[in-house]
Amino acid sequence: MSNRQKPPANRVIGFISGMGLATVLILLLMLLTWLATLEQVAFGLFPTLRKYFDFRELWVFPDAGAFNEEWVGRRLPPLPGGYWVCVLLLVNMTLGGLIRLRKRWRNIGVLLAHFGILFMIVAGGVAQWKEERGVMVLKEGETADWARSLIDPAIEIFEFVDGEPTGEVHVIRSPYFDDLKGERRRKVDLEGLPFAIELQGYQANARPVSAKSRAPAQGQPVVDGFFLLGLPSETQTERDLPGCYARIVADGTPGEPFILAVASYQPMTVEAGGRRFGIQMVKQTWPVPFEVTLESTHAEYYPNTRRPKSFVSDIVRREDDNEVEVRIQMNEPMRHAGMTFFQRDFNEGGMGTGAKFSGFEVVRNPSDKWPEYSLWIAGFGLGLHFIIKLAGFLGSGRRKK
Amino acid sequence: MNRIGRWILVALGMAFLLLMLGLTLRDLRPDSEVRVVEGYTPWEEATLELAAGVPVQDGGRVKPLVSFASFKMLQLHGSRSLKVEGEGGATVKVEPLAWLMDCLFRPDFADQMPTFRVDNSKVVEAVGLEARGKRDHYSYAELRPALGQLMELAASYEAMVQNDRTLEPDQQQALDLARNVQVYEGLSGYLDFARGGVVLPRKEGIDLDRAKVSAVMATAPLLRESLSRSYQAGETPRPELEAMVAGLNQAVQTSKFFLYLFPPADGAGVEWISAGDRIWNVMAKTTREPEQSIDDIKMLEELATALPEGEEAFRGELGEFRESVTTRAGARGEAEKVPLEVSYYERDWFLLALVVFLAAIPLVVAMWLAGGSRFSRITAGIVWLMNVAGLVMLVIPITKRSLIMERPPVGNLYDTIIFIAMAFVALALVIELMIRRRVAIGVAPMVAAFLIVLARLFEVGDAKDHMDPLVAVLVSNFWLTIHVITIVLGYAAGLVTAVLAIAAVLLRSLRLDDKSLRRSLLRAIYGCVCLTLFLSLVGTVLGGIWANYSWGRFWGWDPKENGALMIVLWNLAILHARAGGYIRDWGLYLASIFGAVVIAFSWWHVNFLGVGLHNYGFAADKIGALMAFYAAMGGFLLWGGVAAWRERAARS
Repeated sequence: MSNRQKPPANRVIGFISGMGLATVLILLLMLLTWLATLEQVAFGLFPTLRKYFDFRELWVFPDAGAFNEEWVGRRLPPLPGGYWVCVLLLVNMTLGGLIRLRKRWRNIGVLLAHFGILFMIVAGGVAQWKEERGVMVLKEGETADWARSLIDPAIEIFEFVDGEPTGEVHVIRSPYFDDLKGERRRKVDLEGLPFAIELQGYQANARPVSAKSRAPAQGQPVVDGFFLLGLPSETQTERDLPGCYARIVADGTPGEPFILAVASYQPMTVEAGGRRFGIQMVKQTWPVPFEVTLESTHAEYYPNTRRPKSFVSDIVRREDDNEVEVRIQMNEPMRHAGMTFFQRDFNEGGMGTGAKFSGFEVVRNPSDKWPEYSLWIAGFGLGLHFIIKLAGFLGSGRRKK
Repeated sequence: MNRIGRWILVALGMAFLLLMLGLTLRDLRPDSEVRVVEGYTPWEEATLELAAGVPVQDGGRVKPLVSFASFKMLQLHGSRSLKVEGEGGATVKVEPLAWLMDCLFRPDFADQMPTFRVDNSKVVEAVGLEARGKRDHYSYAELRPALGQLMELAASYEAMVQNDRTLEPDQQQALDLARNVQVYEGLSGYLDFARGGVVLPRKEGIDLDRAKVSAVMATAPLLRESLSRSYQAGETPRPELEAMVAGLNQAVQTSKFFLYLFPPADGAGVEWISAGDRIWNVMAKTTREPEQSIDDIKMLEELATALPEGEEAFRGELGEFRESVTTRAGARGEAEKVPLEVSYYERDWFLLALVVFLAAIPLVVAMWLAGGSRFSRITAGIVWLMNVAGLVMLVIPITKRSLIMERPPVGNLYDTIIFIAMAFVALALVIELMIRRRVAIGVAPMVAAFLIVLARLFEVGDAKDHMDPLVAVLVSNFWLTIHVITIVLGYAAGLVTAVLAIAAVLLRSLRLDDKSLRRSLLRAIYGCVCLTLFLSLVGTVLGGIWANYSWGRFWGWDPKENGALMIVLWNLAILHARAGGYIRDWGLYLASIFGAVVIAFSWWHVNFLGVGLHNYGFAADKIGALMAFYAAMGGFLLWGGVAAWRERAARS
């Protein structure tokens, strides 16, 4: 039966699971990877990834600045978004590379390789949705049981009692406000608080600036003599300091607007219902289910050079009255309770204090080990297929003789 | 038989040979004109042999003086030899160790040598000197009148760098020149204290107007006490005491940096000590071994002043010095690799391999030209042997380097080039064993020669000792072995694929193949695509696992990672397109040739982007060579495309 004679459903399935679509998707993925690699030079890694591989982007318009600095801003013809190319590839591979592939012993390597790669893409998807990543910076002798996100901001609201922050901290995560560009505003109600908070004018990188030192050139609202000056995003997104305008709404009456910015040193204080509250925008913090105390940290350099040889931190991990001494260093992280602590930064006598600091990258990723498992499966499958093909090649050569 | 086709192939082969020969000769001959250095005499071979094995600490490891000299000369001069016209008008080729010995022991000669390479004449014009060619070499004596201005300029550029401002190329070159001058001054003035000693004020009744630094060091306790008494009494110290302090300070300053000659005392850390620090530590009472320190300085003084008595006397002192330092370093377990490294530099195995591969190219051409004749079979045998010999000549130095570095053979870009050259030849020989078509053994010497020349040019341009230890994040022999080597083998397999495809395109378009050869090549190319995919995929994912294990992220979208992924995706696309029937013979050839472009992007191009963990900070001006490679591959693609179109047109 020719392709034209097949029922439409079969033809659709045939197309979706076909080699042609697989080839095109793989080529598209390669093209997107190439363009994203070039574009991150001008625009930074995080914005480029968000542009090319975020699920919200059905289409991407590559920027000609990837090829020449002078062409920045010129859009090239569109390509499908990388996230959806991966989803289609997943479907194509599942249908064509697993379900419809002929189950012959000669195909077992290909089958395993497809399964391994599918598993790897799934692991990537799980990491994208479920992974949490932050940093814990400790001075020698200091203890913490939380980590701070490198990128995502959050708004924290807490009550002051006798001048001290007391009780529960209410957190508004970035999805509630990071889309509030320009005039868009959103009111957020939080249980247990005698007011709602209205947010507006979010900027991914901004500083509160005195209107006396600089006039607001784009009509930004001036609040208490300050306005929020938007800045271009840094190429290293973790250096961006977001901000927005806010005001509280108590008993249906909106209060005076104020600025919330990660770059601010102090929280904003407001009064409502006879209580005093602090409100601040910070890089989001998240709890770590144990305490970490930095006992000591040191860096070793190759002799007579400033080339680092190792960064080492000795910590004590406290959990349910148990204390464990652990050494964390480059290439030797601490894995515990579904979290991994990596040696990230080291600062000797810096930050103007003369003390030694150690920075740990703290990662929680449920699919942490999946890529490794997928490698063994895909590698074994490909190796097996290669050997089968090689044996066939050598066998045919011998038969010819 | 297609005669024209054969001769086109011969012409291409010979053109390639001439290009490689030209590059090799350019690399080997001194990079500057012969300069007159009045009264210059070359060092005796025995002296240089002895000096070669003196251990020093540099770049974070203990290495022989010959290695130190080699990379310092590359850094300053831009090549590993220069020529001078010396005593009696004789032309002398000065190589790194001799150059360093001149800097240390005969600075008056060294000052006149064209040591400093200046790539842009604007730099010398900016400091008020008259420039010669756009790119030329200058001696320290020539630069001396403008040094003040050069240092001022460099300070302003340094400030710009501190403020995160990017320098223009000529500003960067001025800064580099100033830094090189400082290195040179550090080396040529290193033993000034040993030659000149401490100048004392003339005093009635005392003939001595100079004292040896070691002698002054020996009086350190008395000197400290006298000074202390004077200061406590509120008196000015006696002039001879003040002169001693000033002289010692001067000695400390001129011999403090660049050359760390002495192993520290037991338990005093791992940093070797310079002559200046030896002097300072004795005077400041901060050493555990004051007597050894004084002896060390005394040895240097005797060495520095022995030369006027002749080289034999000099060798006597040098031998003693070397023995003393080697014994102490040996006791610390730090000098074991020095003899091996001296032997590594004594015999340039890579150059020998290059000679063998270059010599094989005309034989390859003859082998192909002779078709299936007896002569062809004989030349094929010789080419086989030359390939094996070349391979051995690559394996030996790579193994030596690995033993010296105490790590797997691939840890930086230079390592990748020589390793890929070795892997390419090995893989080509295996393929030849399988298909026996005299194609793989024919292309192997050409690509190997190209890669060795590339490695030599890269080493000269980079001017860094690639055997120095790796940064903390890469210190993992396990992961370096399994991830980096797998990835690099993937590059090699991809290049073999592309070169076989180029050969197939040329043979087919010039009508030099038959059905059987065509089929063999096609199957070999397909197999190589599979192998490239396997190695690249496993290598890439292993890299991800290493990154996840060590830094908590499987994939960081680093350009190097992306490049490796692109190789995987390209090979996947080829296999899927082939399996789906979308590409046939010509499609496979052309896709495989394009694979070389993808590999070049991943291997080299991403280093020019200036971002990511694997960024090596390449100068933008070197991208021209990469563009030339892309253009060459583009040329083959165009040739193949036209040939495919013509074949199709002829068939229809």
